[in-house]
Amino acid sequence: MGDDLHSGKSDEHSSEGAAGAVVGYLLAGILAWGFLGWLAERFLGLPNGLGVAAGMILGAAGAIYLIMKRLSA
Amino acid sequence: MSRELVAAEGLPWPPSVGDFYPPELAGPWVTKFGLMVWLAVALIIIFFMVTYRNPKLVPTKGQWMAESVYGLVRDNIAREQMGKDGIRFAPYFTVLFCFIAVTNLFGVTPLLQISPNSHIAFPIVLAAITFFMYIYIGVRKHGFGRYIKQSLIIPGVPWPMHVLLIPIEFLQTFINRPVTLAVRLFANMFAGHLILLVFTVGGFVLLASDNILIQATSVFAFLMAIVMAFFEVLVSLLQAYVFVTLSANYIGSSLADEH
Repeated sequence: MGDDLHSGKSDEHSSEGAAGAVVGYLLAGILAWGFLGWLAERFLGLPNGLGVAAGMILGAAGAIYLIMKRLSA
Repeated sequence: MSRELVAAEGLPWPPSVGDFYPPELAGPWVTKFGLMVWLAVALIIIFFMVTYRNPKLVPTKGQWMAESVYGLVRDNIAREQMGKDGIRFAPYFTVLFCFIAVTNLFGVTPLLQISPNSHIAFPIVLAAITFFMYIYIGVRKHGFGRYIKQSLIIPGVPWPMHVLLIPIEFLQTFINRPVTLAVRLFANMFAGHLILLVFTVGGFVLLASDNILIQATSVFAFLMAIVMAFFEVLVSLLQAYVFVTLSANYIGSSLADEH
């Protein structure tokens, strides 16, 4: 799950690193915000599953945005 | 029926996850895995000492092998992942690569038959070394605050987005990286051992059947076990390579300047 975030030097070399980073970020986004959504659902008394679902969608969107920012430059 | 046959072969029956925890040999600290780790360390030290004791300009066969391993790690892993900075980490990466490759190959070595890396404790230690190493190197280079800021905050992003992105970056950099590093190596070696076990033990069980036609099919199980043993050699080396490549990549991203 390499994130060759910076500088041209690693960009061209490790395309497999970039591919791993994309999957890693997507997974991390969905997990992190799914968990936060679950917490919110617990403490705010939302209907079951709503917080998790919203969190996961938000996390996936955030992860895609992050990937665009980190890996496209 | 099959129970008796397998018992006669000295195999644990039924096979279980417990087979991955060999009994203590002498006191709580000496296990088969512990001895294998020492054996791997000894083999690596002896190999490099013998091949480098008397280096020649035109290398001998042994020296050529040692230089190829070092050259592979330095050029194809360290330099490719980290640029010029990688060269000074090349000795460590070479040792790491050799250690993982040798311990992995124990899984297909006769008499040893299992890799220490199929026990989660060993990959965890290796991943922890990488984890603390890239954090330490990042903190040493940039200072604590700047290192954290650099790993969590992306420049050129409107500030409300940071609320969304910082948890993702945190999970990715400080939790997912070491966990996936350890689990990837562990799961590959564990699954490899399991596959060999299934086909070998399955072959004996088929052989113990009453029916000659079922007995004949055991040939395929044994054949498959042999093919899988060769596949395991490939996986062993590949996983060592992947582990070291990712370690180099993580350390390289700690060393990188600004984004």
